[in-house]
Amino acid sequence: MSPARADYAAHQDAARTDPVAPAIPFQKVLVANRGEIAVRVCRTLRQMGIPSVAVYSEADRGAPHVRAGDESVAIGPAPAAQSYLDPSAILDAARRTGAGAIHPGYGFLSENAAFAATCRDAGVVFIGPSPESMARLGDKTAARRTAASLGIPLVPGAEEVASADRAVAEAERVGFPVMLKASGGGGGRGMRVVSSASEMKSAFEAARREAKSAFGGDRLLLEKYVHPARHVEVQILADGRRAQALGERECSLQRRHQKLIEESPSAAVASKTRAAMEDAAVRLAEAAEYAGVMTAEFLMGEDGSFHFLEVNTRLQVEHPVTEMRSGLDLVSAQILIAAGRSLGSATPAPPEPRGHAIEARLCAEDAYHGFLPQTGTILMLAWHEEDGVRIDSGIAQGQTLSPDYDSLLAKVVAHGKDREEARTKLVRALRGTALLGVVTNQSFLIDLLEDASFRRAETFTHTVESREWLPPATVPEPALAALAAYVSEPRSAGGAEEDTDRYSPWQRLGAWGRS
Amino acid sequence: MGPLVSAAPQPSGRETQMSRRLALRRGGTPLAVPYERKRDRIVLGQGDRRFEAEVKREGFWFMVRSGESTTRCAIARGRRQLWLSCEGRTYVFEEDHPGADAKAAGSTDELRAPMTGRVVQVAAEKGASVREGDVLVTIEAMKMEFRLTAPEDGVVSEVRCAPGARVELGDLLVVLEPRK
Repeated sequence: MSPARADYAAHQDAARTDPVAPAIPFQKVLVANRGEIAVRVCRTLRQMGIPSVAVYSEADRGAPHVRAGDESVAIGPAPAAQSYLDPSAILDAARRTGAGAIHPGYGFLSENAAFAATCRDAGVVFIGPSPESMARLGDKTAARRTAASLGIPLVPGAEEVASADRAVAEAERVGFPVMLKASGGGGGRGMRVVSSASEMKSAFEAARREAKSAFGGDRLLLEKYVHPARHVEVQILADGRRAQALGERECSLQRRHQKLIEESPSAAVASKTRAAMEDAAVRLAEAAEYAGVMTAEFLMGEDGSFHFLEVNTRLQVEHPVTEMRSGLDLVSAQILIAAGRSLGSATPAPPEPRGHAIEARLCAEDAYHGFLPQTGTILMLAWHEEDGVRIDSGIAQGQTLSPDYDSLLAKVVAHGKDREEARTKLVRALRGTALLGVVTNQSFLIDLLEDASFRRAETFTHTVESREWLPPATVPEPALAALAAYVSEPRSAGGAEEDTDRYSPWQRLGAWGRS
Repeated sequence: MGPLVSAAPQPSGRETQMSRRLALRRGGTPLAVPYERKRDRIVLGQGDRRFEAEVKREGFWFMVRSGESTTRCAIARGRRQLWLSCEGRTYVFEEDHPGADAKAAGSTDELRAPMTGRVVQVAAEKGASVREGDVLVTIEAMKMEFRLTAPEDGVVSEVRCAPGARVELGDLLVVLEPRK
């Protein structure tokens, strides 16, 4: 048992003896996000009996997340900068609906300290850390400084590079290849690996543009590109005074520095390393008087040594992996902590993680051709259902995908008593899912999970991009037989499109969305 | 069953065994598979390379039973393509019609949008000489930037896009005259 976990148990006992829990100071929560995470947050709000408000851009009118909220508000045109990323549009929607709190989800405004401060000034609870905590940990440059002051090992680099020339100088100091990152960024955007001085200028400019477009700030930092390395992160739950580690997740399988497969526990993390990482993460959270959920990310070398990478001051995309092992609802914990509850009273029981959980991110992109993003209309959608399989989805049949947002469509998560059981269950869930009309990475996710490297848990951050992955070369005979049956049916002969639209739940809606 | 007189030409005697051919393209490659259908029974192939299955429709699923194994497939028709999902793999087909491969490889290179998105930057200038691999256009989609580069050395003869413009998959962006 790690020190953090023991502390949690003690705290839990204290909470049980406290008969009066503080009342929740808000009666309605606005979910300032879209897609699967907005749907998922609304689900917990409903379970907690708290009314929810969904917001949507013009491109998302009628999207599943709009129907997930008890009410919904239009907040602007399709580009995120004028809708989901626009602080005044979000706050105005909160005002109009009487929402006393805002859940930012991940991405968009979730790590924007200025927005958190604006909420506070407006008397609206931001469900997340204080702007001060965020400033100390959410900004990559500041987080590196905080970690260094606590004696946590860092990846060699420079906290701030103001120009491409400066970046070249710093890169020569730590040695190529290096990684450029947006200080205020996350989710792999605004990141570039640069292997020589001649590539720096265009990489620097591209990273800066991406950072500005995705996060509204264009400061960059530079780090040595470490490989082979595993990406291991620690989930933290904290109440402003104490922090509790909820185990690690390994997320080494990535493309474009964006995670594809995440699991917990990591097969590569020894218990001593786990304790040291959890301790580092707890110290980071406590140093920043952090309240809410937080993730500390590390790079782990083959020898088990680890270096601090960054902190995500928000709910992570892959949080279900931790939820499935711990039985906790992290969104509920976030809400209770934002309402002023202490650690012990925000979660029901000391979570002793059990079994193994693996998540696969289903994205609208062509994994076999450079992971190019794909758009289109979802002609048919059917998920696999099974005990121990969780699907967090933000899509519906009939929906047209917009190029304005992230390509993440859904997360398929499986829990088993051990890694192999979770793996086979996840493969079964992906094989049993059908999504037609938009090219996705579904088949590629199966390839990854079935690959020898994953079965042996020998995956690193460069594993996906260092190999060539090929689509299935031939169409299996049963598929051709089904095709023959389909085309020889009289109805399909005339190119009947109503054939597929018939099942769309959208067809049953009188009007799209509500406002 | 449809009306007795159907607008779409129907082969007479649907319930008798008859030879047909799947004529599709997958990734530009023609896929021609002879098959026979008798009620729910589908026989693929000819001669000694044959695959026999019973195919039943359950909702939008096609249950394909062959020997001991049953495979579940889903099929949907889009505007231009046929989509099939089988065991978690998706296959996209275009219906084959004569002339589909008539688009001859011309003497110019056409740089087309590989996805729907927004043009961020246009580095290509009309009349400029470019080298293979030079970035010509940068497109942003789903918050990622993609750089489209010159497929070979040449001269930019046309620029059909501007920064900020929204482009659809397949839109012509730049025309390149290869260097002789």
